Amino acid sequence: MNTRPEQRRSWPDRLPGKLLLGSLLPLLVLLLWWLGIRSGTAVVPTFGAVLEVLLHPFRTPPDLSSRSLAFSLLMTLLRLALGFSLGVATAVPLGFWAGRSRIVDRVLYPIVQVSRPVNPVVLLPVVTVLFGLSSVASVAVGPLDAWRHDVWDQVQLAMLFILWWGAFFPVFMSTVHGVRSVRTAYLDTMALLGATGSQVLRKVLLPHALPSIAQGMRIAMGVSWLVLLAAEIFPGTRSGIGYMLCTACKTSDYQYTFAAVIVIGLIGLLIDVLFQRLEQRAGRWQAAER
Amino acid sequence: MRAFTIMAGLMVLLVAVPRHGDGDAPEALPKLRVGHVGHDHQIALSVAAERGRALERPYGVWLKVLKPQEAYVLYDLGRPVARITLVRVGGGAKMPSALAQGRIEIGLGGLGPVLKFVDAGAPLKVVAPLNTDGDALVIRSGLKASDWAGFVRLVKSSPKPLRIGYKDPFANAYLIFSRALDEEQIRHGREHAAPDGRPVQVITVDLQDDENMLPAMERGIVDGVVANEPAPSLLVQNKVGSWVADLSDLPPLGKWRNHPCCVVAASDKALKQKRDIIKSFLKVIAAGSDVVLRDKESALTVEAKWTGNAPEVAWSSVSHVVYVGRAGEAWIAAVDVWLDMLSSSQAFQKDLKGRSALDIRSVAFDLAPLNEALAEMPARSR
Repeated sequence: MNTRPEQRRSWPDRLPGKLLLGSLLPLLVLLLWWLGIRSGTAVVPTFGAVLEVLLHPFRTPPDLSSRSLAFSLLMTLLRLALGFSLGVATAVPLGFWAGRSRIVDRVLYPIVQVSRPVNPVVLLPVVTVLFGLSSVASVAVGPLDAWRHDVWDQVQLAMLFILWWGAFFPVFMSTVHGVRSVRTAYLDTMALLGATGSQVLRKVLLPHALPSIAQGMRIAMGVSWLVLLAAEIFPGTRSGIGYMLCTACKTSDYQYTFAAVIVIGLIGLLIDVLFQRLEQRAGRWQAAER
Repeated sequence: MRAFTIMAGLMVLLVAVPRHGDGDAPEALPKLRVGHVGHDHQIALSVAAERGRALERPYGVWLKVLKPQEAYVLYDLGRPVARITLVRVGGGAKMPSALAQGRIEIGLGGLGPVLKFVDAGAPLKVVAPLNTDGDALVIRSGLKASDWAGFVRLVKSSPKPLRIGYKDPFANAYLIFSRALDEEQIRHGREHAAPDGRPVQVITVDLQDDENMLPAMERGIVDGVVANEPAPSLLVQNKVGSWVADLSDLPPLGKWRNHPCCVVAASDKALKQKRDIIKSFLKVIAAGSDVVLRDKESALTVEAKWTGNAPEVAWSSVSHVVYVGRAGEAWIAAVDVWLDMLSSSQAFQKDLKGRSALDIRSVAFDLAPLNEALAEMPARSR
């Protein structure tokens, strides 16, 4: 009998149930805020003022020295996507290599263990010195039109570096772990069948390591998200959700600070849900095997 | 054993027996939490704190140290009136933010951030001036400009835009500098292209904080900075940059002279509940300002001690700042110029939006306690 797992779920595990239960506390906070701050104070704006910002994401704040909420979010997500992708793109192959080769593992182990606990945010002064204000626009090949230059000029190499740092280690460690956890019986069988290295990678190593890699990516994404918001107060930054949040505090435009905090929370939740799905999908075959 | 019993008995006596004048004990006094940034614009406070009882005869007020740079007893006319706690709250919006949150009751900080908070509805008032001027343009050593005219020539002849850093979009230095560039018809902005699509000649870079200026200059991330003291003196003394201009001398000529910088601000609640203590505290500030003006040498020693800056940085920095202990006509006139400029820059979006300078002063300033305090001070100190 093949019963679909969804049919056996109780209501808290179904989407409407999840949404209802998950929104209870945020709604309570919003209600308390709405009831408690009816006229707004200099540091806590009214719920209405924040909602006004959220409902007009393309409006440029008049006195904030910051771009619109939508543009800020676009820049933040662009930096995140690039930095995180770089981290994953370097961590996965190196992780496979270290997982399969004792020599590579011995070479990488000390540097990885020394670097892994270093919070990327504390590297900001160092990377500022290393990269200055260089951006993707300054290293891009070929001419860029004005708006492309404007966008790429705000993706600074220093930021990408610390995002890479934040993403690399969790993905690298989980890839090494995933590769090492492959049963030797599978590898021996593949060898007996005369499989090539590429076949072993595609048919055995990758499927086995994928759930672990996905788990590492989920952790890495959480780290990158936190790191990025701190990195957006990097000298020379002129856009991004973190920048907007910081500038709004400086100019006492706290409705933008609160709006930015809400956006950060919602995007963080969305990203986590996406990566949770990815993790579940990558580990589906393992669940079926159990 | 007997010795131990005697010692224990003595200790119990010391703790338990009420002392004379317990009402004057610091714990029994009303408290006043004072926020400050800790840089040399606010040297009036540190000088007064360091001078101690020497202030009493000429000014009638003084601060008795409980814990250096942290806790003092404020004396006025021979009586202890309050226990003062100094809190380093940080610069920019941090001071008015701490005031609005009730973490401090009175604070020393920039006029611009205080007004932004008043605009946002914070129940605060500017109660006294502290200093004016003290902003400068410094460029990377090696670039050829030694005055404003030279800088303008450098910008106009440079094939690439010059990058000039600032710490805050509402910092005095940035506001004056950007208006002076407008005056010289130099295209500037944070992007490479001006709104009309033409390339800018000066790119302004938000360095987020004073502390980022030295590494940014050293590594050539920016070609120069506009900042308030002591940052320019620090850059020059470290041979990272060379002095170009005091921003008070930038065009339109004369407009920026005496531009207000730091002020003392207090919460409306403190002004209502602790008005007399605030008056006594303002006497201390006025006394400290007087000492700075009359005895620069000792002010420099204090500056170096409180800020940790090298003596030569302290000397240069203090020389460029004008300390003001009284809200005289010149200060009020300079404040009005500044308020008009902030209004025209769309800096006010709420309670102060569209108001005239006079109107803003009536809402955001309460100079009565200062004037009363000065009237009460001994004649020779006024």
